[in-house]
Amino acid sequence: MSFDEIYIKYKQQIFRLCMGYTNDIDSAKDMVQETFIIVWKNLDRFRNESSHGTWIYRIAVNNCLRHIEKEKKFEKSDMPKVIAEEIYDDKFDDKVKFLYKCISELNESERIIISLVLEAMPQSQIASIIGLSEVNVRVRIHRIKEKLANKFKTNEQF
Amino acid sequence: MNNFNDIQNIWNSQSQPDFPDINELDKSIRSDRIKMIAKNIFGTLSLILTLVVITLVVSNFDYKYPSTPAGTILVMIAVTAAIAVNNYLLKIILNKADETSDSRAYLEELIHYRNRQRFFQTKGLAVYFILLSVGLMLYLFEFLMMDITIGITAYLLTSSWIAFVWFYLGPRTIRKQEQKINELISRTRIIADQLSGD
Repeated sequence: MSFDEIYIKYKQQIFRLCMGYTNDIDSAKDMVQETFIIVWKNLDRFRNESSHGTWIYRIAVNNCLRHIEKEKKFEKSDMPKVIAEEIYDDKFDDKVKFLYKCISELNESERIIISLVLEAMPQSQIASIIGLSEVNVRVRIHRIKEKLANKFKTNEQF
Repeated sequence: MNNFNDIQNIWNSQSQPDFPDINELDKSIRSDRIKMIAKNIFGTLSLILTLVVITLVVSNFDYKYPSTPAGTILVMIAVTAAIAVNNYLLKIILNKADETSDSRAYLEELIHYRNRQRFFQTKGLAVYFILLSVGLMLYLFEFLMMDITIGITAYLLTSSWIAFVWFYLGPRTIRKQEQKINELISRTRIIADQLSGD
């Protein structure tokens, strides 16, 4: 698979993962770009990988996890509400925005795991990306799904 | 949990933002590479230039005391080591975390990397200051013997500058760098613990 093909195939999925992690379109777009720069730098290793998807997602997830290094001191939660809401692009409807908001209230590892679940990724692959056992991943997914559903219920979104 | 399907449907329904096409990504990869190469060239050039200047100064100066070349050599070692460590060695010694590892391993590697970085930035900086100060003092000794007034003035000025750097600027710089790295380490630790817990 050439670099162009990798980019076309994975850019949307990686964007959704980054969006789940940051809940900010501009940051997510930057993170997609950073991910593919890392992919490009490691292309020679890519050829030897048996599971390309896992390999690319590992880079993307790790890039998300070290996002704290690039965060500005000015946290989004500190912003006045009106400004914070303006960050959202018109591209997302209210339900999608609400979903991302709920995900952003989870802790970092939960945000990653649920985004991968929502991408319909098998639990074994999630386990291999994160470095946990499948059993552990299954337990965590169950808890996170519950948390997320509760948030929706509390806000009467169902 | 019947409602998770609804959440899944919302996720699947989202429209996609516009992405830069592959050419734009290529451009940013290229500019990234050029910046890296430029940085390396700049580092190498400044290293060579420093060595050339110091060698010229020493070879053209008719010194009487062995303290003068000894001081020069110490300053040379300090400056060369600083440039070399910053430009090349750090990359090798620190061995940054492998971005293609699984996340648990990656975060642990990242924490080790930050710890090593903290060690070099704090202890390395202290060694640099000591070498530079002793080197300068030794170098100035000959001037002290030539003309006692100029020598003492030069000594006083240099030692006050060194004291200022040693007691104020140095600790302040080290503290700031340490704080920054400590903050990164503790935040990374929080995420790593999330992955390690139960």
